[in-house]
Amino acid sequence: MPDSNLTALMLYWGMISGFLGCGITPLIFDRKARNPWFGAVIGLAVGIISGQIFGRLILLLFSNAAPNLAPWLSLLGGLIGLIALWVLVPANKETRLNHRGFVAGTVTPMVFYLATLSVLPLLWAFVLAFFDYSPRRVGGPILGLGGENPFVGFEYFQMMLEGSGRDGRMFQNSLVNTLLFTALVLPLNMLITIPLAVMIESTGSRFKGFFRAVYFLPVVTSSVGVAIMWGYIFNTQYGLLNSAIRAVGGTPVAWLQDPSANILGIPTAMVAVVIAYLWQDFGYNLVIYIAALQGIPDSLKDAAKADGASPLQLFFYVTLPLLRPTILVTSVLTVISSFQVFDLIQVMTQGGPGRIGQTRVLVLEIYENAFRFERMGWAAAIAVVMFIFVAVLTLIQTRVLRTNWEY
Amino acid sequence: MKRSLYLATLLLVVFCISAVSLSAQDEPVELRLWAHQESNFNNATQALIDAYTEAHPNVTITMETFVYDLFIQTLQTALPAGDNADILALFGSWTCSYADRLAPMPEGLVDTSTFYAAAIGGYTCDDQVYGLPQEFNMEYGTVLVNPAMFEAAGLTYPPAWENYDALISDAAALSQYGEDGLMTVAGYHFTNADAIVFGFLAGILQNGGSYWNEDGTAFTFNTDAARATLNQMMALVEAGAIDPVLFNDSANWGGNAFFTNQAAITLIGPWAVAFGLSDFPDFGDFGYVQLPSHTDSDPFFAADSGWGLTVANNSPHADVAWDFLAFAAANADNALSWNIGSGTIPALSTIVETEASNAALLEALPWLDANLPLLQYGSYIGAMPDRDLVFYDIIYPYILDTLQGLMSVDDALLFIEEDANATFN
Repeated sequence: MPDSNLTALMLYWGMISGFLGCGITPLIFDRKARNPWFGAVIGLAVGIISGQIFGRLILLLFSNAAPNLAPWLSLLGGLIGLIALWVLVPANKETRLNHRGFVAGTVTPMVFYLATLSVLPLLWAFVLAFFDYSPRRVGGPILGLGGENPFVGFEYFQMMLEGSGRDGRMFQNSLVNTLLFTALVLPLNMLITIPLAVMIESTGSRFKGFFRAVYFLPVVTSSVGVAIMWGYIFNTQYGLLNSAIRAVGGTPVAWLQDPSANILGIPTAMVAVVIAYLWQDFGYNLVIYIAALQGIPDSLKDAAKADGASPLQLFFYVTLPLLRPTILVTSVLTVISSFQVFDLIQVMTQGGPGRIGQTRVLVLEIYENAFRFERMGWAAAIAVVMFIFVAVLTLIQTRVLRTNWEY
Repeated sequence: MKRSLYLATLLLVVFCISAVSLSAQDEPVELRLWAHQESNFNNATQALIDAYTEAHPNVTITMETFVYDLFIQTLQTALPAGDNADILALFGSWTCSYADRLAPMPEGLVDTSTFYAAAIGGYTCDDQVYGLPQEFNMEYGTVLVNPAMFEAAGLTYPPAWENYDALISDAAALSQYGEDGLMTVAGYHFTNADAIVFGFLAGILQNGGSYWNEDGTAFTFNTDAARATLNQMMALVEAGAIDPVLFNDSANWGGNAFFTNQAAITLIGPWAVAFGLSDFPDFGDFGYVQLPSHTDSDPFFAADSGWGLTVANNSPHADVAWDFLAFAAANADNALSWNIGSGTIPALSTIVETEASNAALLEALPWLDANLPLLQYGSYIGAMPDRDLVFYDIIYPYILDTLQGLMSVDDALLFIEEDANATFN
């Protein structure tokens, strides 16, 4: 068994057995009138430990007889210790607890997974942001930090703030591009989806499902496929768009390649990726708006109509205000997903054109630095700033769009 | 009591079996080799592995391959975690940045003077050798040429450009335009990232300059030699040899452009010949010829250290792994078979200098006829703190912007020098 495979198996043993331990043990503790939360913790510990011990034992026992089956069987190793725990723990006849076994058994595994797969990496990113860390270098004894991966304090954040050096300039450029991208996507998305949702909602019930499916299709299409398709449309020499421009006697434009081409001062490459992104993404918000529209009571609309409201007045004074909670949700989701845009841009422009990268956004900057140039510390610092930006924007949106009423 | 006994017995059984099993695994030598996925490279390496393990029956070498991007990411995560393979097939110019995690070559194992200086340079860090090259990576000096386009333009084929002006003249005559005025065929495609960077470095050397300061601790890109080189590149654009907006690394990349008849001459390494033969089998005739020097000087050029083999410093059998490296890369017969199998230029100068092996190489890879005489003029690019960053995020974008008319030659050189030197911090 190669070392790397063994390491992977050890991870699986820990995660699977821990998951089973903290998921099932609370139910059994509950049946035996014991504290299910305590059972979750004990189950988690026993699952992880017995997964490591018995997983390895099964692997050793079966690795010669059934080498292909042994790794799969070893995944069950944790159950040996866990079953022993479930059988051997005696029932408590003295105390009567509220039966919260189901709650403990469902919440604890999720917390366990969230902690190991999301919170720990997040904390690690926060730590890395203060170190000049590269996985190429052997650093200090604790997690490779220190030594040749030295502590730099707030130096990275200062560079970002001042825009000093190439790194600072590239960061500020990518931040501006991300904000520009988001500033274009958010209102355009709302302008398309809300009226379209109202129109679809006003059609006959037979067509609603059809339209919903058609508009939602791009959402479930691979982003890379979408990027390639739009890349062909915007291709300078053979693209559909330039063919149309040629047909009407216009001059073709190098949409994705010419750094000097722009529309109202916005680089054409940025316009192109925004269009591609909107095409793929708007169906998601559309479905949410349709659902929200269906939740608005007819009585409110009928009352407005009875008062003589025109269709436009009905939209602006009844429908739109009642959609505010939904607009809040969709705008928060759209801002977050716009900040995270990567695949479309990576395929369509790779951050270009131009030396400063007219479509080089924050996630692309993080990716390039982390995985191409192996500058994990700098990449982590950008990720932290991006996290803060998204959090602040979300907070502002929540404040601006919150409502104090329900219907 | 019974429960405790049950648990204690189970634990005892586990540790006994583990101990017996571990002691039984000590005798044979099992090595793992990691490489990026490239079928010709992988097959050639597997042939060497088979030959070595046949001669050393107690040794098993398992090759594990990864898609290129995944390979980089696997190295990044596995090396710090210590889960890496024993033998790592690395690109020479990366090697020194991983030197902390590599085992140095045992003293006297191989005579490294048998390798070209450009090929072994990347594997030598602070006078210590950390790996052995298998190929000479040559990105500058030779170009793909399309005979049909030369004939259609009424130009001499094969071209024998006497100087750079002759190249510019031919390139301009080969360019073609559509009715809408857009360039449809680039006369001379030299605006791939590698082509721009290696062309720039070669031009500096051929113009009598250097891009390193005297003690090799800083870049010197803002020089007369660099200015002359960039002006020569600009002259190509101004003559209409290429439209750098339409033809560059992200749009109409040189290899594809050439084999889809969108470029008449393309500056690219000899590996592109194998790429063309496999991906465009119906393309028809093409040639691979030498470029003229930028000046009257010899055709000096800078080269990366290409792909080769290294040994991880946490390998329990580093001595055996290094023995395999010597077998694969320093033995002329084995190295030759690997070069023929992978379609690469030899890193061992003895292969090129020995008549029989030279003939065998050219029989298998005839297009290398244009490259082999130039190898003597190659020098290693130098120990850059971050080669990829300097090449692809600094030199290439600044020069492309200059060629596209977005910044001046003087500004470009100033910024390149400033930003490249900042990578030392």
